[in-house]
Amino acid sequence: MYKVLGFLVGAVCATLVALLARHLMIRKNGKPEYDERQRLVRGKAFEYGFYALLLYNAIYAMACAAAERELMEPMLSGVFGVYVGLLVLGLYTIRKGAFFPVGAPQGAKVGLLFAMGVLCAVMSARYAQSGALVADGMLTLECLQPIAALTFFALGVAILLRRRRDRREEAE
Amino acid sequence: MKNLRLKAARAAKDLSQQQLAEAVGVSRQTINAIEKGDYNPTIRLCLAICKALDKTLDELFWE
Repeated sequence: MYKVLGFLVGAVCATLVALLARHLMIRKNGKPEYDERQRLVRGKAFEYGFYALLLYNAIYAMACAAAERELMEPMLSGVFGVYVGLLVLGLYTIRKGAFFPVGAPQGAKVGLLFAMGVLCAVMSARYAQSGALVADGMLTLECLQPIAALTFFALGVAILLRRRRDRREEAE
Repeated sequence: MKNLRLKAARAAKDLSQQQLAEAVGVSRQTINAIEKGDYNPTIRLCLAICKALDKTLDELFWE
């Protein structure tokens, strides 16, 4: 009960901080706008993210059926699917150059992604040391930390690779 | 199909993809996609590009 409550409080706090940061960014740089190609790409990315979520659910259901038991805590299995969908959405938009709006500053956001990744990795290491990641043969809700860390790092690295490709294309 | 006329017109104006993108209000990747033939722009964007490069639609986009 307390674990779920803590998760909800954390989610609400994170949402409030994100909304505040967005409000400040809009006041500073104006409302971010995606161009016509980026909007098309993002529509496709949402579609692929949704398919990825469905695919994950199907694979997880089959894995549980094969093992004849739950492999993760119910809440983790649900949120894991959301992360899978978000990762697919993020990687597709980064690959197609539609992750950032037109003219948006990128450096701070990449730094934030890596900072969040490091924070989650540190928490993951603490949970791993205390053995809280697995209980009764099931992955616990604490596994969200390594999953989030991997997601943040994957997105950060993908953005850096994309920027390198951008520089190469610009030089051609 | 690559749009080499757009690339040539941009180069003739001595503009980078980034500069042209800023002039017409899109991302650099969108200009790159148009030049490579990976994206078919709307008439509104075609007109904006033509204005930025002092060209007509026929000169840049008509086959």
